Amino acid sequence: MSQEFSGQDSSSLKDFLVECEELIEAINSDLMKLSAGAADAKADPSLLNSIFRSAHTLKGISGMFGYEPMVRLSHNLEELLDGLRLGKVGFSATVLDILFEAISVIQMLLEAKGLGEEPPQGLVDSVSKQLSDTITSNVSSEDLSGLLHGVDSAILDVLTEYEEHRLIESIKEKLGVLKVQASFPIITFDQALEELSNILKEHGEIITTLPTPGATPGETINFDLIVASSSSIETLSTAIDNSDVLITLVAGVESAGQGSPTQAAEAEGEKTATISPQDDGLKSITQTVRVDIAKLDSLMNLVGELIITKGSIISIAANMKNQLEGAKFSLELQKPLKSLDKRLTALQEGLMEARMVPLTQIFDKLSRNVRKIGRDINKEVSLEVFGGDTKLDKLIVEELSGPLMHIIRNSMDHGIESAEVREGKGKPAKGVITLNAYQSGGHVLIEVSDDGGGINHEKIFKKAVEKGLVEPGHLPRKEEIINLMFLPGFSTSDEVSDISGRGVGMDVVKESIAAISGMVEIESKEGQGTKVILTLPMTLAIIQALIAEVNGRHFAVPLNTVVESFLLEDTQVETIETKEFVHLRNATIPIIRLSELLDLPENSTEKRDVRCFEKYVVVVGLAEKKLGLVVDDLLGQQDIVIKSVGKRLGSVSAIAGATEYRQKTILTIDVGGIIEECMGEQSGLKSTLSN
Amino acid sequence: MAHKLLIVEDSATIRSLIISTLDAIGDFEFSESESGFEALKILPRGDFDLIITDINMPDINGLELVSFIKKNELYKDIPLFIITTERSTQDVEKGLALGANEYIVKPFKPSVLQEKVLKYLK
Repeated sequence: MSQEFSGQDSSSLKDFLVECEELIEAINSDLMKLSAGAADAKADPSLLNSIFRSAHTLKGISGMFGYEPMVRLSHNLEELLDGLRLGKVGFSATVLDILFEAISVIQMLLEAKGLGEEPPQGLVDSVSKQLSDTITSNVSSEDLSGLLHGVDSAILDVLTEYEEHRLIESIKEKLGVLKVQASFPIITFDQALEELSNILKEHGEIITTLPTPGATPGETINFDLIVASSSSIETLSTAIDNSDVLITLVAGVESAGQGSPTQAAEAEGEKTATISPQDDGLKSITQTVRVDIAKLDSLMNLVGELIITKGSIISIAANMKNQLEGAKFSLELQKPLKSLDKRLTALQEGLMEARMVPLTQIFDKLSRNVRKIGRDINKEVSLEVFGGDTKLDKLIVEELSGPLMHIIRNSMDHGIESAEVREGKGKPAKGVITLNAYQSGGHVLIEVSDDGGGINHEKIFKKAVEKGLVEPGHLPRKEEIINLMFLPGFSTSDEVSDISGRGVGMDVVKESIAAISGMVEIESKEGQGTKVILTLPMTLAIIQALIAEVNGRHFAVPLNTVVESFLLEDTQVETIETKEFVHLRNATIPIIRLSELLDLPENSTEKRDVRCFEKYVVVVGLAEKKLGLVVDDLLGQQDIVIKSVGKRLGSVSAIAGATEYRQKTILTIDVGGIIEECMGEQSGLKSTLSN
Repeated sequence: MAHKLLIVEDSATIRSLIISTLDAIGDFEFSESESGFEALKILPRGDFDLIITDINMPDINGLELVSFIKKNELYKDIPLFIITTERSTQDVEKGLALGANEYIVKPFKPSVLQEKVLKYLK
């Protein structure tokens, strides 16, 4: 039957995949919240209901697409959650584990569907069975519907099964069930209702909101809010402070006056238990639009082109200034140009903001994987997360989960010691991996640290020698040894990670991070742990750049990497072997002549004025590393849109991409690439010097 | 003249499937709503010929929406379908008792939805 839908156009399938992804993310995030409170064995009903609803929708939409394994699994998941939310099945840590397991298999199913691959049937079978077994073995049936006796049937008639259950539970807990009646003008009811709901939520749980037509149906609308609360009617009336709002008791017992101190404490407990998750309640009406990132990209490109056009107008205005006739117009142009500039910047920032998503999205996923891997390899590890609300470009965030998972997996496999070893060393048995994200200048840094054994440099060196990656001999410096881990072929087959299903080494991590213009560094202290630091740009779209000239050609240097620039005097340059350095205040900075690095022939047609003999140094830095780039001239700052340069140039590590400047295509310098390349050589130099 | 339809359903996928299913059989103008709450805001704006609503929604559920519409002089004659899953028989019974005209069980065949809609829009 549903096969009739599987032939739907690809946009429906895309809708399906996107919505499934969102639902899985929502379930994961709710499960994390549940697991945070799992210790007290009493799960928050509204969280369970929220997860139930997501599973319910998952089942509904996978049914429409005839995706049988997903239907089967989400059906069993829905059944279990239904039992849990209706109190028919008891909640426990084991149940939570099964829920996590089920959602990770659903994730795999979704991935398989997206890639057009065969679903993992065996896994689906075993997890489906686990889910249904959990239901049968945990049933705690107790028919309490008698408690509803006496409740107005007009209310009962519109309650869903879950709401009915919440009503019964509230009566069982001896709370007062109140009907709060209000009437609002139809045009402004949303705001008024939200305000009223917010006040009520501070005093209890809103079981449902029943709308009824007002006295003049076209003008007013009435609402009956059914609220379970330990506050008295008087307390609520005072809080609402609106004589038109009528409160009556419909079931249960009204709490007397302010309530005894214990009741107050209970009420407080109830508040924290139900309010936070219910906060999302009315928020679902916030007007969110889902936009394909490709659409944002094309808008961003348009803005980029507008910015370039603006640049041309500015340069025309500047030229006019020097002409007798044009000077007046040039002056008149200043004001509108300024306002154009301001609005373009606002537009650009707005679009940029729209692309930014918080890292929580992937951090939640990682926490779940840590649980799972910990179980698989029999190590107890907890993941501590800081800075989850740090925002990054959606495209960057999407590329991060693979590399981050690999780094974490490495820490769990090789970093964190077994419980016995840890206890022997006087460390707590449970290992800790910390994820810390924060913004620093124009970059976002993500640090993954573990409190494991740290990197054994000799072992790494030995392995690299075995693999034929380095010549045996004396032990190089620690940083160089760590860099060996980034070499392709360093990772061995016994490290096959099940994250991507094939062996991945740190070289792949480095490559994927470099693909999003980022950098990877490793710090390690033997015995104390390892820290992997990712330095990432906040966005890939529009950046500010310094335009530099080298032998008549223009290049863009991302401004967020520029530390400072100065005029180079020959006397400042010091040559050690073939490398050049300059002294800048108290530091010695290696310098690289871009004309040599990029092998640019001198442009003989260029008019040789005195400026050609002056050179500038642009000091660039990423993380702690600094380097001077020698250029002929600096032409000022410019907003640029980086575009990919295709495969041929893509392999040149000094070039990050292309961009447009004064109607010409110019290349963007890959500062990270140059630093890595040159620093590698520099450190090699230093080590030969020190010997 | 295009028939005006209001779809109240929190799943974007189901909404788009309903739209593409019905687009195939006639001229419709669709209004979409993600929640019962939003539907209350949209209702006064359109002269709807048919309303299709999900039941399981937070805050204002589908049953409450049915009750509101069927008790409202302005909307009570608009044909109203409820969409549910096979598990919610109790909810379907309540919905029909409140005055819903038809119910559709997810997953549904396109032809079932098409036939039921055509029946009410003739």
